[in-house]
Amino acid sequence: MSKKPYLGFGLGLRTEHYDAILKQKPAVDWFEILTENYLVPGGKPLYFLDKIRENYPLVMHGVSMSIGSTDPLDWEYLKEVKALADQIQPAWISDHLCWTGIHGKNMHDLLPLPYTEETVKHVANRIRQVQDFLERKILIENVSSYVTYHQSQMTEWEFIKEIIEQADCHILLDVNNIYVSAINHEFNALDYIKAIPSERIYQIHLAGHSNNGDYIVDTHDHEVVDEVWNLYKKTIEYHGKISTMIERDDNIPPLKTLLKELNYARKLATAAK
Amino acid sequence: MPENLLQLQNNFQEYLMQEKQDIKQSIMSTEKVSAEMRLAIYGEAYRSRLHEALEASYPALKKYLGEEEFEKLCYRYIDANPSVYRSIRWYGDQLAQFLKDPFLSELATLEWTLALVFDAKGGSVFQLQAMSALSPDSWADMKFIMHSSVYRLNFSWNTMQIWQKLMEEVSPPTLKKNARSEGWILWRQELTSRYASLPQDEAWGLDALLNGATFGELCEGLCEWVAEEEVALRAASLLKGWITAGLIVDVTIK
Ligand SMILES: [Fe+2]
Repeated sequence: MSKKPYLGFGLGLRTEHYDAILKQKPAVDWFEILTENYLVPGGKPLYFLDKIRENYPLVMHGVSMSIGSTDPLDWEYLKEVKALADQIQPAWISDHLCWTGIHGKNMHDLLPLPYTEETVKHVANRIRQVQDFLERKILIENVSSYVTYHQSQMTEWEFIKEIIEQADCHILLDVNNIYVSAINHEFNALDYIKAIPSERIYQIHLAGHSNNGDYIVDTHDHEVVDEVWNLYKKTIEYHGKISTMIERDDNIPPLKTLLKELNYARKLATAAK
Repeated sequence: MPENLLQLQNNFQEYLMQEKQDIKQSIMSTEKVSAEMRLAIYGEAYRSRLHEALEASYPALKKYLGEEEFEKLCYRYIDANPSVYRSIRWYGDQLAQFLKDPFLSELATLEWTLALVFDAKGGSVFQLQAMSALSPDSWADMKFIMHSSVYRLNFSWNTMQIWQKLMEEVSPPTLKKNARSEGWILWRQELTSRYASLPQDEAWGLDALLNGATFGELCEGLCEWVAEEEVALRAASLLKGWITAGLIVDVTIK
């Protein structure tokens, strides 16, 4: 297997920060864009995307590939994704290990899959088709979940490991999602993290969440919590250095605040090596 | 086809869209959190996400109706129109048709159109100097390629005036019906969205160009408003204004 690329420390690109990024050229190693936001004919988002691309590496992160759906793959959507990738040349393309709807509907949510052999085969087969079409390996991200299905026959980490091996794809490991799911489903987050093969982990997501006491909802509207920082540090100690970024989708603070948080990640990762 | 997966997804989706309960038997309860509570997290997220998308596309309509009425409208719309889009940005495209009140429907059309203008394809526009390269003999046969951001709307109410005030966060004028339908144009110059009200002949002329009329056909049509000896002048002056505003991408000779 070829050596995996290392991008350093990135942030999610958000419209609120367009101007600040162009003016201040902040010390962010790369940006992750939300693919769907740029699948439009033209206007401001695409204008800023081109400008920012001149100064920074980008990766594309999608939310509606619906790789686990029983609907056919949406080739029109994939064509648009491919065209955007041709234009901005991202370091890689990722989406989530989930389904978002069937019968042509979109629930606009990252819905969990049952961990069965049937699902593994189905999803791995679809990832292969997408990779053939996009002519590149993709990254799939573990989602946070609030339900466990009776029909599940294995743990989430066994499920994800089998899929990435059968599909020969990479993984975007969301450490916050693992933390959230570990609380919601009462498993040990480190068991999960250690089960994932190091060479498959191309990227890490860090984010904040809302704690409701008995369960946790993955809201991306807060700072990263100490428990997640701690897990992140252990992830880097165990797997070695991995491109890392912080996701913030709601309650978005000024760029400065996110840069501070990103520097904290940098410090932790450097100390962990 | 993975049959078990299909059945599960079908039940889950029916829960989200119609609150059908079949999915419940597939979900484990724990001591701390019941299956109902776990499912409710998804159920609430589904509706609130679509509600948020409508809020983002229809800020003035929300202000006009008030938070509560707007929310009710959203939930009725969500029940009747599940999303069929990959990108949530396109969710809400049917709201104007969904609204039975003709003014509210106009306001929704205006806001949706503004979003289309914002996202339309950009690119270079036709420059006035380029007109000199066209021989005056061929003017009658000129056809025009319009900029993709150009949209024409007609309002039966003082919708535009109400929208402006709502967006400025000041109280809007009283709703009133226009004596006759008022023509407006919406478009984008570089990254700036613009709009302007149109005299009747100009509104007709822009519609004609958008439908592929030649300059000759434009002149003929303008005779309805302008005396014959002044029609060429009026048409040329309109054309100059449209080119200067960046509405025209290219001029071709038929
Ligand atoms: Fe994530």
